[in-house]
Amino acid sequence: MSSIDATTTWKMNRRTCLGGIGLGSIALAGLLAEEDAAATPSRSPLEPKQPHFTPSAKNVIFLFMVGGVSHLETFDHKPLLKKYAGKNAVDLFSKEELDGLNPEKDYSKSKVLQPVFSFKQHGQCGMWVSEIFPHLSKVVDEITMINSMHAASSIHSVGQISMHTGYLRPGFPSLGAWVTYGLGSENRNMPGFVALRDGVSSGGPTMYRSGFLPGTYQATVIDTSSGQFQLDHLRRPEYVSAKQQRQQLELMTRLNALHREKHASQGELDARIDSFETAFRMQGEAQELFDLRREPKSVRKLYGHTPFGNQCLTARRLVESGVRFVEIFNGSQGRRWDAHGNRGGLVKNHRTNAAKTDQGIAALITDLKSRGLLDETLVVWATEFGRTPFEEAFRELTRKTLGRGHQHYGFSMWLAGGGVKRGFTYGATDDFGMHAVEAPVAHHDFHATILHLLGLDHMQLTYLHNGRDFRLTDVHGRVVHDLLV
Amino acid sequence: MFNAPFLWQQAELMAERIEREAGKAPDAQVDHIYEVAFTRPPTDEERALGIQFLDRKPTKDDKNDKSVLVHYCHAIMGLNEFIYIR
Repeated sequence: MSSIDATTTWKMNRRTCLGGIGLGSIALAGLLAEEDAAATPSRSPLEPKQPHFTPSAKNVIFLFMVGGVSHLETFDHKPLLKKYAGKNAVDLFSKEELDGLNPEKDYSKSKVLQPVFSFKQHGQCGMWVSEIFPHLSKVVDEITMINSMHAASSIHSVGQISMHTGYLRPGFPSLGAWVTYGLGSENRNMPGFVALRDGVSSGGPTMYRSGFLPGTYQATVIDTSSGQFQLDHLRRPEYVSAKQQRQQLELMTRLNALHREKHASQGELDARIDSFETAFRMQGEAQELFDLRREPKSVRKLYGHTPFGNQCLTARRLVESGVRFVEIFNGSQGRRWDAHGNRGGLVKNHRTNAAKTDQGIAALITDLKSRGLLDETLVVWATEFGRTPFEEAFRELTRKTLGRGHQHYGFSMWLAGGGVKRGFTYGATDDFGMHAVEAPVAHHDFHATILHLLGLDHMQLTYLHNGRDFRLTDVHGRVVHDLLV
Repeated sequence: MFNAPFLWQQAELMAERIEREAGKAPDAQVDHIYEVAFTRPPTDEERALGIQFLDRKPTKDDKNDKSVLVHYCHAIMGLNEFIYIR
């Protein structure tokens, strides 16, 4: 934060301060959102809560690949595309289908493109995975692959936001916030929801914020783009001792308690008293948790000494310590999975991005399993949409490299651990990989299923806002029981 | 809140002002801080807690870079009453 010069500060009392800079800029107030009267009066909003029914998963690690991963180059094997290669998209798909994609794009000269990578079946289950995920291929027997995802938009920001909040526009609580609201946190020394973010993506912070839920449930964000895994101001300044800080906290707790007596109905005040306690304790535990040097060499090697590998290892450490929901964003800055012809090309783009993430993902699954944590930890691999079976423009004319556009009609995402089937492939797209035709799974269904695994009924997990009970799934969503053990 | 340099900077400036305007006596300092921060006098209990904090003798574990008054001002600015209106 910038410093304020002495002349300004001399005039700083409550009135001039508020009058001069306005209420909105007092960031402290943002720590707690307005809490509706219906909210639970529990002493700490992060206390562990009983789920609606017995859960199979306790925690979630949500891996989000920003930019729209091509299912046709990763998990959805479409050999027939070779037969159609070079055919005009306008001859194979209707105007409505093409107009339903990004309306600014011109598909009139687009031609079908066959998959650029080779596919093989892996594991005992024989799951199809392309050549760019050699590590992940070895753990497919732990995974439930959904090849019939469909979503609501093929615009990046809208797709990213709806994959996290269920709604197409910003301002609604993210999945992680709903889960933390529903279940609380098991570690009082740490926040319940942590986002490890490698930049800011087009969907923006709404993807991990709490919307109209109390601010306590938003993610504590750690920007890992600098290679640092540390929260701001976590370290005590050198001019304060732990004992001095403890004494300060005791004074504050007593004075806050006197203040609290005069405002008996305001639960937010308790939350803030609590958040100071958490912050104080985090100085100890969080620093240790984020210090990956505490891991044995063999484990660090398993994850690979890459930024993404370190994100995954940090996520495991956090979940192990009782953090409820950890989200990892990969490729945020410049939505790096966005494999258009003019963005480095499909081949180079996906090969590079897969190489950066493959080992970390596989290590995460292997490591969780060897610690007995995979049963209670749900690992989610998601992206905002898939990519078109055809190229976007006439490549020979524009001299661009190979690329695919966006499409949200049918694509692939997967789950592992936490009570989903192992080595299981679910649903299918048509021969072109354009539409989810067999057992389609909407993003609302995906959300409902994740909540179900955590013991939460997506119809019951509601929050009163603007006179209406809101849910993560709005008025949609069904649990896909076929995916569950 | 605990560790941000900005808040410590503000606490120092506040302590400077309090000492300049109210002198060195703890009871006068506490009264003045409440007037400046909350535009009200402290209750008897609050005054007693404040004076007790300010009278505390430093121990060998303490860092002496900041005066007790700075620590006190820092705590005041973290209170719910300071952060929330109403």
